[in-house]
Amino acid sequence: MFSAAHTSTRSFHTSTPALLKRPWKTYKDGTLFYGQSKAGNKRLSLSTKQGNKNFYKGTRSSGIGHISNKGKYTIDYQKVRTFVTPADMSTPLKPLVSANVPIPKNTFKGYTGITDGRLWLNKVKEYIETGDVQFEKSDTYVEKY
Amino acid sequence: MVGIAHFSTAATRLARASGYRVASNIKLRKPILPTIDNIKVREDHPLWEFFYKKSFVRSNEDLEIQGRSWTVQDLRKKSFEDLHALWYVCLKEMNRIQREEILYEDISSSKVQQCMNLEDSIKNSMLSIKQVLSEREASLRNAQSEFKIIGDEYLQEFKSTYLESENVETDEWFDKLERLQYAIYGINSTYESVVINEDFLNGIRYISSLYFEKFQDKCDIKLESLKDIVEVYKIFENGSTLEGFKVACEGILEYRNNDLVIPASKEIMVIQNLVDEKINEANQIAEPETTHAN
Repeated sequence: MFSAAHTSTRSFHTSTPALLKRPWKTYKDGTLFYGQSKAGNKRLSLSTKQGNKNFYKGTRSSGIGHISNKGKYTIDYQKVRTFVTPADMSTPLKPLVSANVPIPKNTFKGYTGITDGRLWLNKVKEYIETGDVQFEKSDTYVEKY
Repeated sequence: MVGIAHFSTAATRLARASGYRVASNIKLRKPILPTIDNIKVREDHPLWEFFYKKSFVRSNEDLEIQGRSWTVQDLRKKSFEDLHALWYVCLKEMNRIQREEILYEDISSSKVQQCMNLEDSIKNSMLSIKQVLSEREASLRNAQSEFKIIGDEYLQEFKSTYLESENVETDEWFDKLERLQYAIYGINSTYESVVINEDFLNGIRYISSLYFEKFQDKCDIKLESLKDIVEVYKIFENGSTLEGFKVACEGILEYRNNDLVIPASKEIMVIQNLVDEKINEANQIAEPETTHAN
């Protein structure tokens, strides 16, 4: 079921980890995709040293270019990982919040939850009708819950 | 010995002749001892980011967890810029605490556990940020699929209120249309970072159909329908007022003399050119002012 060509397209799986958590899948000839058994406690992601001959787990540190037939490596800068830092690093936010700040409660009455499409569509309609709602900002303002 | 002299260079021979004396233009200074006090690090050195308040390790009070992690509910109110900045604040704090943890591990100190606790609570903050971002992504996806179901109905409703409204040449309506085209079709009124795609075409088709149905009867020039995308674009650009609509109609009549009809496959390319022209025009108007100011 999982030939080498298939794994690159990943069929219905969304990610590589999702694929790796399915050791019970077998090749056409009946051998396991990887691992020795189908036991549940084996369904953890594998280390670089585990897996059969078809399993290659990189370190996410290569594959940023190609090697020419003369042996020269050309870096493709489209593939080089970059880290986008925020434009303004001087934010007043801290990694932790004061313990005195209560956790706000979110209720989504009439909707299935925060990711309900209808909720956001209604917000968009509201935005089209009224535009951005501007709240006054002040240093002494304390949010009430 | 004669053979060896052959290899010696002129400079070494000279040095030998002068008894290895140091040249007069070189001044000898006291040797700098390699101790930590003699190493000067500039205040804004990037590696200071790995130190808590530029100290070797943080004090006992600072190592205790003060406060709680950010929760998902806290972060739902934050903008993307805030979340982005907060992620990097957390990441830097992680780097600092992990550096200290390694030091404590080396001496098997009991503070390792405290470091790990602090790390865990920062990690929870970071997980909440990820959670909020994935929530937003899912919300967008869901809203888009929901729009496919009830979007046409909403647009029809909007159109009927627009057509029934007596006076649409007001700022209120202009703003509303601007927000609609931005929220639903992604068309920024200033064409800032605009992408011409099928959505853009649908957007200008919808907006121009509003103008067309509203002003068609009041206008002297009778156009039966809009034949291709260029005519749609002309109405979209100018047709928000009755006067502008008349100007657009004249432009369309002129355009029809050419007997050109844009096929569906070239619509995006043609509109891209028209938008680029528009942006260039706007830039040319803006540029002389800036040069004048300089």
